[in-house]
Amino acid sequence: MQTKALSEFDRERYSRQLRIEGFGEEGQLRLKGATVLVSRVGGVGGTAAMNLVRAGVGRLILAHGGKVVPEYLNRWQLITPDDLGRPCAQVWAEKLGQIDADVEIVTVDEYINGENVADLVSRADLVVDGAPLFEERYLMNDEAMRQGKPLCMGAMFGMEGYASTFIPGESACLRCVFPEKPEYWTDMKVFPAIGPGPAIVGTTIAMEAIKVLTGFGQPLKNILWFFDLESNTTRYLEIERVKDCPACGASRSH
Amino acid sequence: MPTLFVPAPFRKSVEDLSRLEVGAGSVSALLREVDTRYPGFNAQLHGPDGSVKKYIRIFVNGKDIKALDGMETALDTRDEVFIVSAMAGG
Repeated sequence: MQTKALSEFDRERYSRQLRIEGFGEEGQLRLKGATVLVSRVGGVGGTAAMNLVRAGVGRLILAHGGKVVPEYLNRWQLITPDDLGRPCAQVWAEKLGQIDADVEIVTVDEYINGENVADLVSRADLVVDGAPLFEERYLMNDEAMRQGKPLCMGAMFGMEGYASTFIPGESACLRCVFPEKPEYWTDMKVFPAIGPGPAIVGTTIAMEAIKVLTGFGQPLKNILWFFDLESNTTRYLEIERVKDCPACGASRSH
Repeated sequence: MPTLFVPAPFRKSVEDLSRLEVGAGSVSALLREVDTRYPGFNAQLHGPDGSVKKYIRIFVNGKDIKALDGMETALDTRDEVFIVSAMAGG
């Protein structure tokens, strides 16, 4: 990671978080030197991207194909009806640039696929995954584990959500926990959603990314943090690395 | 009595309840009892070979039953069985 210096304006902008014990200027500089790949800028990924920009990440790569449609308006932070019909990644780059013009934002007008995943992961220090399809999530998980890149994962369904952080060689990965996708998850229209659910997940994985990138705090390693906003239930569920996991198992070299 | 947390995708089969109290001494006995009350519940969790589907994890007091005694993990009256189904919504 490249480390840039903090300007006087940075010191004022980040003055509240610079006072957080264990974070400080060292954490801020690490964050400023980091590149994060965000898969999809929807309710989860977009919220994560927004929080990472506000926190002062140096560079974001936003991967999201398609254009803004009305059904995104109930949960996508920063999006307005004026954005309908515009390319999602570009709209987000524009909005995030208004929050902090110094953050370098690279847009990729494609979803994660077999052709682009290796290159995109190779350009990042850490991956944030908020994709609504398991096929994209498994591709991203496998490639991040193969390249030894940490992955902060969050997802939701209705009023439920969960988050975890996968550190290659140290913790469970997505395939360790859920080796197969549900047969009912056939397309991205499957999941019901209302704004606060994905916002909580996205905010959580942004904080996870900040912790991993700066070495501050305790990431959700080998923990699946689960919540259900309908029944007001939250649990920290212990998950374990699977020795012969095809994505992160001991036989894989990192 | 042990409690069972039912995740959203499977609540329709248990009258939309998120939480059930079930008198049972093991995870497998608990699931059988739920299936007696709500026929078809178990079929959602298990594949054709009878094993739990690979997108479902079952925890007792926050620990994966795979790290305990699997479906035969013993339950006490204050234990909590927690089912989580994989999700990808964003």
